[in-house]
Amino acid sequence: MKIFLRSFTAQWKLFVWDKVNWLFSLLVLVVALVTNPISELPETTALGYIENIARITGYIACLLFVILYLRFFLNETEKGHNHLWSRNVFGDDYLILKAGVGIAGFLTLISPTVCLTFILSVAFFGIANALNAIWVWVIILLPPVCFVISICSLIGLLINHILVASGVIIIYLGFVLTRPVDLGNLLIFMPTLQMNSALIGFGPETEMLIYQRLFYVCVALFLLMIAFLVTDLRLPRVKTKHSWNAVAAISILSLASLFLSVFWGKKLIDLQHLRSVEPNFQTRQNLRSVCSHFQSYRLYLELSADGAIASGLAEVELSPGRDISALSLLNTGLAVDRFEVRDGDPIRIELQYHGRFVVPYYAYSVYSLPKEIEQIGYAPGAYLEKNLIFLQKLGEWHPYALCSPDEITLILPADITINYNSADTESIDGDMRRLQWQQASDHILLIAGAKYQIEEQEKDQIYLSPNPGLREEDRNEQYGTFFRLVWQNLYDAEGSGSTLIPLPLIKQSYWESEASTLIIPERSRQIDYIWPDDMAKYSENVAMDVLLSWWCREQHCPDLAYGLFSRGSDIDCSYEKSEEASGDKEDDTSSLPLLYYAALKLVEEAEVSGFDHEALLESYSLLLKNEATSIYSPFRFTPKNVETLIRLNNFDAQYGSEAFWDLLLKAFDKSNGGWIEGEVLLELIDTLPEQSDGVETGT
Amino acid sequence: MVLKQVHRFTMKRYMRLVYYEIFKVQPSLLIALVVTALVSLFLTLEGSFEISERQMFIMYILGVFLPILIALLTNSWLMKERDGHTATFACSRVNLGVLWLRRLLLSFFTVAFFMFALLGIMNHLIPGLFPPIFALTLLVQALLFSVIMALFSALSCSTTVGIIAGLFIWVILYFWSPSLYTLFGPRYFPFLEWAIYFRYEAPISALLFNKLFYAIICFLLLAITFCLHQRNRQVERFSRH
Repeated sequence: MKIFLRSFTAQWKLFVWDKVNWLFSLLVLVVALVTNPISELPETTALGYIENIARITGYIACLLFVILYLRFFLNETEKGHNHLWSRNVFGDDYLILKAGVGIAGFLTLISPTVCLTFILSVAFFGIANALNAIWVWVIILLPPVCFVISICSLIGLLINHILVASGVIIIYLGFVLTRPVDLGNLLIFMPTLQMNSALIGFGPETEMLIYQRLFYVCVALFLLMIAFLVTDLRLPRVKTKHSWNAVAAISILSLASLFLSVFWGKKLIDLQHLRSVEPNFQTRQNLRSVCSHFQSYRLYLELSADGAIASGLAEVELSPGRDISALSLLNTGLAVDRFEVRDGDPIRIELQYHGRFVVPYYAYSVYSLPKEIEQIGYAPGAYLEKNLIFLQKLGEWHPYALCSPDEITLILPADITINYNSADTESIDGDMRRLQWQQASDHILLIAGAKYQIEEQEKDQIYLSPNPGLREEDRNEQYGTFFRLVWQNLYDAEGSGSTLIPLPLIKQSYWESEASTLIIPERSRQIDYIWPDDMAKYSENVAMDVLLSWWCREQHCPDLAYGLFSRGSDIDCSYEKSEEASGDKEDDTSSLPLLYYAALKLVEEAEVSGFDHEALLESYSLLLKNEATSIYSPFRFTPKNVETLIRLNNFDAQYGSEAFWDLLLKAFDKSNGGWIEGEVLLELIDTLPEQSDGVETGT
Repeated sequence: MVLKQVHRFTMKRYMRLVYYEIFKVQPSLLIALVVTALVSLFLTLEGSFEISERQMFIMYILGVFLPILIALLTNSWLMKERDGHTATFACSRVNLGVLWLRRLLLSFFTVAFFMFALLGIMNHLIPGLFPPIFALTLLVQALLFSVIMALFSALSCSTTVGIIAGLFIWVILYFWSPSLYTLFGPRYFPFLEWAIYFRYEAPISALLFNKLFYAIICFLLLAITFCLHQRNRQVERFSRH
């Protein structure tokens, strides 16, 4: 052992004293600093910052380190080192020594990057958050480095030529690293994570990430064991007789690493199967039409301390002649224990289930998805983990996910902190808490287990994640401002005593009217994509989201949310195309210009810097006259939409803000499923002033 | 002190030299080219892919990965002598700049021959698969990465530094290719042949400007590297140790 440690130190010194290796260190540091500029640190979280640096370091380092490691690994196999090979110990320890020094050397070389990142994290996010994020370095970076070292050792031994071996490995790694696939792919040793939340960390990806990392550690060990087997054949050492103990140890380790690789790989693939399901549109459509035939729908759910559904029971009373046996939308992670149908009038159905809720990939992907998937919003409707439990009224945590339950009974451990709930009754029985909802009207039923910090601002309450950054504070301020303005304009009230709660995974805000609570998305691809480059446009997005939450407060309208944030960056083309196609039957999207115009009014009222209401409306007028060619818009405008927008502006200019907000309230009353017919809206624009004031309209 | 001798260069001697430089000094280049050819031909004949997919995959190999592989292999040609401590012997017969240039040109003649043959066969198997001009244009990025590696190797007198620098630039260009394409457009995109068949759908009309631009850079770097090698710093550095 003493000799091994001495050799280890000597080899490590050789590696570290090689000046060329520090070029690698410098390049990694430069890339880390350039890709994560200090100026952008206030806009991110400690976890996000370190994950990004660790990932980019991993990408660059894995490829460049191949050259350094192979050069170091094959150094003694070249001519002129015969005196070393004449010693048996050198040959015996060669592989383990080189691999160990490879890992230690890598850690030494990236230490400047790690130290600087840590110092910046402490400075920007505090010591506690910086320390908490250290595990990210370990989990993101160490398995791929172990894998690269193992594969380099094996290929290096087999080919025994630095350039050819490095060429082969770099091509393999380069090809694998740029594959645009997710965590579930066994080839990907350096994954790109989709989820990054200050509240739930990597959230639904955590379990997969752990399996993936364990898989790669085991694969690395297995490759190293194979390399052990070929050392005798490929190294210029004096062949010695191996002891039985060594042979047995290598055999057991090889088998164990192979077995564990298969085990973790299998678990990863199984989880990937559950996670990669896509929404079943046919069943959703069929179920939606059957919901109205439910005479009663009762749910009984018991959660365990880790968020798993220990027992779930759905009881349905259904009008005769209906069959809902194939209409369950239960989450793929949940298993049905019992399904019983008792014929009669009404038909009684009982469905019992249990299991762990799995959030499917499409529900949180940061990439654009097909329109029909985007349109259903956050369809799973729940997140059930230790660090956050939340339930939406409509979601795949109950079998008939699109039907509103009449009665919900939820039992969960009493020691789980309840952050928000809309239950009608609440009681504690021993160490369990019982929550009950009768005809729940709110979208969000429960938020529990999250470590929010609650900030009191006069009568308002703002929930913050454990490490709120500048970005979070700015976002809350924006949401708070628009929330207040909506109250003022629509209810002529201050909206005091309101609560703002950020929630991961959801894609749009929810206005829970009775509690005056606005539940906002912690991070939304659709709303935040423009942040922080254009504050005025971002404010437009936030204002639209707040208005949308008000508009959809009594109905579920994710398709409207999709329509409103479908981004019309290519309006210059789409406008022309839409004009050509205007003769065809197309969807009536008149709610969009109405909500958009209301949002513009809110932004103008909030006096957001850089926002010019008149100039913006002028450019839409020019677009209508085909005098402007390109304009930013949050959604795809049809010529009809632009026309409606201009008419709304004229209406506003003529009759004033009060009349406009009155128009919005009237339009809301006439809307159905979030949508209002274009003709109805135009009729309102034309007739509303007459009805209210008897003033003649002149639009 | 560098000794120089004048040798009479007969055709027989010249052919022997070419044979030596291509087949003896760096046989791994030939192996790499043969393997690339086999993979490309396999993809050409693979019926389960659409023609557009085959074009994209083949250009991914020939336009993105082959250049870095060629650069990796050719970079060690001159450094072989330095790393093996035999640069002084080589230097006594021929100037290191000339030796480097001769080897680089020979390797690129080999690669050019390979490209012409490969594209010829592929176009014969599937007529019109790739424009024949690609046999020439694909050489440009291979030359670019080779010259970048050679320049850094010459500056630092270390093969590894050259490889790391070249590889680093390749990695940056490759991983950030979507941003690069958005920022600079097809005219300055280093992997244009790939971009033509990839989702960027780069216009083929940008090929001439793009290749001229990179060829000029290549010749500039080539000249600097040649001057550096001519000063025989490899030997001077070696003799100081």
